[in-house]
Amino acid sequence: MVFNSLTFVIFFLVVVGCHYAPLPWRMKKFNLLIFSYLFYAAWNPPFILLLWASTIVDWWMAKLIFREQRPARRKRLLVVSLALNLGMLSYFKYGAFALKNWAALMGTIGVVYTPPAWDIVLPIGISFYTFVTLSYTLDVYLKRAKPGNSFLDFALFVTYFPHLVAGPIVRPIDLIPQFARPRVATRALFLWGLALITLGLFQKVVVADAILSPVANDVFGAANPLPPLDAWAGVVAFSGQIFADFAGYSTCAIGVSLCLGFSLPMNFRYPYAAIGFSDFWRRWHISLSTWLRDYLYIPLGGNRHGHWQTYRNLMITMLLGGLWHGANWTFVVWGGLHGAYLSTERFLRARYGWEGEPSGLASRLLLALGTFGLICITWVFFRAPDFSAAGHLLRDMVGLSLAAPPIIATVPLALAATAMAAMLTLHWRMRDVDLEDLVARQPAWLTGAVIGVMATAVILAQGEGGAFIYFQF
Amino acid sequence: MAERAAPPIVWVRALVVALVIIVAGVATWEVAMRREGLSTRDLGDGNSAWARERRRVDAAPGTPVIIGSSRLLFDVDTVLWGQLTGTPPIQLSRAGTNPRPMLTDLANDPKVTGLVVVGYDPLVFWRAAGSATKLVAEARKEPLYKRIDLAVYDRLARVFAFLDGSMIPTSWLEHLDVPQRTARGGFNQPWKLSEAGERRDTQMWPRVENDPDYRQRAAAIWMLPPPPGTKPTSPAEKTGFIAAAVRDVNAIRARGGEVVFVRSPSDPPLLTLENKLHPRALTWDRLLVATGAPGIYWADDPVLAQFHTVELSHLRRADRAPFTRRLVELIAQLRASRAKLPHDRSVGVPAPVRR
Repeated sequence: MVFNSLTFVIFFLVVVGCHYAPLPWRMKKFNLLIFSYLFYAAWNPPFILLLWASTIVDWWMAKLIFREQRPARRKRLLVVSLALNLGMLSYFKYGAFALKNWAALMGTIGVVYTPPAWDIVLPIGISFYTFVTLSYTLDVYLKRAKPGNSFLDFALFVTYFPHLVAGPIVRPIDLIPQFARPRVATRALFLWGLALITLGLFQKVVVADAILSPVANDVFGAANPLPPLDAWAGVVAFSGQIFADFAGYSTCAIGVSLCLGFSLPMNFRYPYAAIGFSDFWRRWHISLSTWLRDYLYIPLGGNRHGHWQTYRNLMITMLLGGLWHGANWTFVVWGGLHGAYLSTERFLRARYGWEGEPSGLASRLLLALGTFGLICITWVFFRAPDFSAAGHLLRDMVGLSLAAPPIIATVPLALAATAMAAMLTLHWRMRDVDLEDLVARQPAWLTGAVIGVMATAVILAQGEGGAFIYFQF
Repeated sequence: MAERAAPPIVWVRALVVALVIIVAGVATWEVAMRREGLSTRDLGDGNSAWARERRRVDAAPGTPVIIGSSRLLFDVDTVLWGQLTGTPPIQLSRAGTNPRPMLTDLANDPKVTGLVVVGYDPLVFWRAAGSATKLVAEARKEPLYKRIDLAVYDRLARVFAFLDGSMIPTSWLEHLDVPQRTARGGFNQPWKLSEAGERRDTQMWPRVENDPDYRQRAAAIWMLPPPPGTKPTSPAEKTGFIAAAVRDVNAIRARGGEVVFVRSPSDPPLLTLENKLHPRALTWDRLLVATGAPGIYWADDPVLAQFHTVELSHLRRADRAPFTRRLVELIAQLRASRAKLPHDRSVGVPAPVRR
């Protein structure tokens, strides 16, 4: 189910009721596990089998890897775990994509191959929980952690509903130790959790769905050329929509967890205030970027073998990071652009000896806006269904369709512009500030008023409870 | 990872302030929306409500089904139909939605063995399938939580009038009288045309009938320029649509079912536009001949021809009952006459029945 649904409200009340009931801790954990399976089953019950398979395989593989001392055998066991996890992911997520590309490849050498119909539903959140379970096995293989002693704790770590379908991609060290002893939230923590849920829902329901998504959908779905203002408005609106949608989910997940007494890691840190692309990736989808860094970039050699190897490793990491988002070459190009940005930034810093950030406000602002503008270009490939659509939109953005009639009406355009101006300003003002610190400096009534306004807006902007964009990944 | 801590403020005070604002904000909006004409009679009509009715088709094979766009949705009183025939039809028409993908969906469903009434609105029927394809596909795999959501929503909608997807604050803002940069948009469209009761029994929103300015706004949308990028349907595409309809009608008939096409009233200048873009002889007549399905064209019937629309396209609330009565009579007559006709069951194509 999704956080922005009426079903979730009931579900959450029941979960909280059981969690705060006078029951033994082991029973509470068991309850949480069952509720997490119900949360997942509310999408498509049979796919729970995949979740179980992933849980059982990694639990045992990690134990076997830990016991095994011979490097070759350890590697073989790791390969088994990777093959099972990534095999499942590949089958469901990339099967149709692989067949389509195979047919195209055959076509280039004159062989006509018609792939069979691949009408397979993508299990929700499979990319996320695959990475979660893999991190457990990989940590044990890399001798960063020991396997856990409690299967219940491990199963709950994999399945824990707040992060299950769209992250944050938690590490074993982040969550499993929290299951070791009884946890409940204090009244303050519980209410702070509710405040974060409200903030997350406001981002999703009001900012992403009600204000930005109509503009982005119209522009990315346009069949005719667009004037530059409309083209840019759509792309900038999508940049805001995807942030508000995904950060909204993460904020809800963190808030729900806090209400139960658990802490989840931060997943976003005001990314559109980033100065440069390394900074952006320290602020955007932090749990994925650190996962890719720790389990892909560093094992590839990271920056330890000279400039060119570093650029190669960055490109491989970002290309695969792009493919993780979806089975389409447009996602690979999105990742490739980010890889190119990161490599270019690294090259320029090395070439001119730039370190850290410039000190002047104007140059910092200019660089932040430049970073945001270039990131918007990458979103074109992320959102467009194919290269043709992306190409048309890029042409419109550079002003090759000046005479085209506008398609975004005045009010939606003004609403989206206001929302984006507010979002960018907020990111800039908050780039070095923790939300907790900001709230601590405000009077309680002001915090309550802001939460009240956001909650009211969420209630009034009720819609169909649209799924979060990142669920499809 | 560091443990999270709550900011040290007086949280109970914050909670009280938040609750006061929520209650005041929701109550104010509720009052404002009731003044706009929203009521708790209206249970809304989202995709989930449609999906629930679609599931009822499979749960009760043989029950009459109505598909189409807004005309048969607003114009037919399904409760009265049930009283007249003993079986209320399942209302699957959807505003602005092409019935062709729905017909294909029903044709592919072995549980559809009864009467299927297809609302024929030329401007919708002959255009691309559009959102109907997604509607049908989503209904087939609707997750469990959405079904629970709908059950909860139904109960809330009976209490709060503002719970209406077409009147959220951002949509409401779109109707502000400000200089416009586009030819069409929310500003020149009505924010609401109908209200839906139990089982999607839908009728004209009273304000369309009672508020002349609003009625004018509702009528004007039919004559707006088409959205940018809209391509007229080519003759080849129309031929393809008809071929698909033939397959679908045959499939339903092969199971013992029947398909009846219904063209309900519209008025000039919309009617003039419809006839210009889709001349009857080249579209309606051709469709009936090809499919062999019976059809009811309102202008051909002396009773139905007396009906006129509120805003060029839909009947007023008071006209639903007489319209439905006559429609039920005509369908019964057509089915009776078809039963007397020679009918090749192996092909499932009877001789065409036309008024």
